[in-house]
Amino acid sequence: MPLFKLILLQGRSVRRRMLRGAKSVRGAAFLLLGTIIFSLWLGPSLWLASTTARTDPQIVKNVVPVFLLMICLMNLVTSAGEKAIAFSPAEVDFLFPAPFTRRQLLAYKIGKSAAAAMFASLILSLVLLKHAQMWIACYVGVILTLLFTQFFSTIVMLAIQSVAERAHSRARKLVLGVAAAVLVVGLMQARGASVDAKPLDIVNHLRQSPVIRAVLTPFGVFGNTLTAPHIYPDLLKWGGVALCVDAAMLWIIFSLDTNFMEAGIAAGQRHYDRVRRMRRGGLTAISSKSTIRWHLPPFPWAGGAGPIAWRQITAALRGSRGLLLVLLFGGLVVGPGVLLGRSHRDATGPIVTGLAWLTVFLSSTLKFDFRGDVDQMENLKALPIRPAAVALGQLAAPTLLMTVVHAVLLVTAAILSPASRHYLIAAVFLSLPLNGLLFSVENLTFLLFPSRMATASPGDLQNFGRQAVLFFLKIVILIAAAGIATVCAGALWMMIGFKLIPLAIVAWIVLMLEVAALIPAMAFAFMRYDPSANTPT
Amino acid sequence: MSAFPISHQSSPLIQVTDFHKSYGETTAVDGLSFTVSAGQVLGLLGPNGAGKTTTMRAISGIIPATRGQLLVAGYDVAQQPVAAKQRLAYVPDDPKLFDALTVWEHLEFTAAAYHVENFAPMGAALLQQFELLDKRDTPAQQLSRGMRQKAAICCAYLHDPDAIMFDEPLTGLDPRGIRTMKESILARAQAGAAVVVSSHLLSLIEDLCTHLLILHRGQSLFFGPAGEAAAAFAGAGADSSLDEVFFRATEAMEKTPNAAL
Repeated sequence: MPLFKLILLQGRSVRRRMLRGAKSVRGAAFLLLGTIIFSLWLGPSLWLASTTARTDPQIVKNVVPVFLLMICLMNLVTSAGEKAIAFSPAEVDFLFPAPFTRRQLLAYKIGKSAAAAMFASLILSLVLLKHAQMWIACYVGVILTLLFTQFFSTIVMLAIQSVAERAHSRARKLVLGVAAAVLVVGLMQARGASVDAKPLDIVNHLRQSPVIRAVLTPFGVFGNTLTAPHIYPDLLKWGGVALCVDAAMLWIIFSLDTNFMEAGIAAGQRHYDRVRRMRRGGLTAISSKSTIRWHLPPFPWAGGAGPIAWRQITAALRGSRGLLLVLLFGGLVVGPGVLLGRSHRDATGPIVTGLAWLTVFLSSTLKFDFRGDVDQMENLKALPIRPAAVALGQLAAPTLLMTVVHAVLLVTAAILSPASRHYLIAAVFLSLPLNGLLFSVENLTFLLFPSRMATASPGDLQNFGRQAVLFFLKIVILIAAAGIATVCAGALWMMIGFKLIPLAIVAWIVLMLEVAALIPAMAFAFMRYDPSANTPT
Repeated sequence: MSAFPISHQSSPLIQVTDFHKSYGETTAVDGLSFTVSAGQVLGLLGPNGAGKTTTMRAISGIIPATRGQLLVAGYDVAQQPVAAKQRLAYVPDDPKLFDALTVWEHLEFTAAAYHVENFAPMGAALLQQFELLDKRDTPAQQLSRGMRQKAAICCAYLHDPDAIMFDEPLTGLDPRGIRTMKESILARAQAGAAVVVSSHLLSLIEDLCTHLLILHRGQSLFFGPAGEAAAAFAGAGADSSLDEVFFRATEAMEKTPNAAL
């Protein structure tokens, strides 16, 4: 079948891409490093699985159905499942006008997803081995579970095509209402879970409700497959039942026979646009439809840095939905620390640690700088602005955005956690130079070793190794720079004793001087950047 | 206006009857009817948003029609999509290729999709014709815009389609590529294919097309032999250039929006 051939060709191309660069010494080194880091990442899971007691199967059996139910509800109420029928632009251009039936195209899409699921299950089954009784059961269980979620998404998307969009909206509200009612009934029936209960206890209490138990029953077979202790009879029995569930879903998919092609094109285009925006602006570029109701007033010229910063900040603020998501996510990260602080204990450590994790995550997604301008480098270089001013302007948007995010979260945390108030305010004060330093290093390494986001294939160990080297390099520079500021503040501490304000001011000045020193380095890297040779594909 | 000698006048290979396409309350194409027979080259003209690409995408079965009938070589695109598509090739504006697949693998896949037996000699000849032979094993992501266009054209020609549709076929091509492209369109028509070319390059349409379809806001302003276009619009002389005809047609529509021919 030609479409099967296409899946094989694409698989071959992934392998070729992975091995392409390995012929050079540098590529081979990255591949080796990627393999080592991947092994180190996977190693502990395998070691834990082989040396410690496996998770109680009953816990897995309780958690898996709830997890699956949540995924299904997410698919129903959001557009998360849209990818199930999304076709790439190349697939639209080549396959839609080609002599294939709708069912053949659907089979291709499902076959491609199934092939990816089989590959992903190999890795997932090793990661989850500690929670299973034997590897083969874990592998079979993960594959069948992944297929179930994919089939469910496909059915939802096809069903949406079968009913008018308005009807879908009404149906969605109805499903939400029913889900909420089930949850309320379940909670009422499962009274007894204390407020301080752990998530697992809450799940166990919920499962005591007959209503929720009834809803979760169809999902239970996947938990039973994952935890099957023997091939015969457990795995054959539960795996067989799970397979029947998947087969039934597949039968529904092909019975629906909806004309999904137009929706598939639209979904694919949205996905493609989202990836492009993510490459440019990261997380804050999530929103695709923004009505422009305002214009940021122009910034002062500032040697040319002003207009550059204005452009990036305007772009960032127009993705305000994304920024709100960032704040929401930040609230979730810092939240546990704040709760600790409310009980009058010093929560500076947990809050700052949570914030540090958030910063690491956001630094790679807030790309309103050179990294997001990978396709604009020729235009930037053609501007009649000195490279140092371009570098300064590019640095402004992500630094200010991250500082605002930090400030909002830290001030909120300071208000709610009186015991940590002084340290949290000091952290707000240091946030600006620290973020400046972070994004200077991010941009410098990008200009020296440019790469694109979202271009690596799954399992691309060479790219994995390359990213690991870059990450290591960034960490070394950041630790060195922050170390110098700490040493300077430490020296002052030795002289005048512990006085928070002077120490923070010294650290602030040292960090700012370091940022100032990195700007010429960025300018130099920008000057030597050759768009014809360095722009990554 | 030059006219290509029509050597294959027979039943239409592309037949569009009362084609409508709406997106919600927006009407993209409104009651369009036209035919393209073997040997004819139809030039699809119209300002941006006229419905040219929508029409071609519907004929090629990419998007469904809201109403109307679309036939390719006598097969209904909605009822017998596979048979219709087997006889059709569509080269979109800025064709997207599978990034990681090589040029040859694109041909290999196309041959499999359209059941082309022993495609290698034909594939090699096409690559030779479009100067892509040395890029045979290059992944698509490493090709320039023009090379991607050429690769897509090679794929389109591989199964020797009865009907071919091009959306802005010359974009990104170098002068030699443009000449090859034009020659190949004429050769395909001469061999009996029905060809549709959509382009804003009026000189291209003038050079290649035997027939014209002028669209504006989803409606047909003119459909017929290219030589009759000038006479259809009052004021344009018999030997008027195509751009004069085009501007008269679309300006007339601006003045009397319901006066579609």
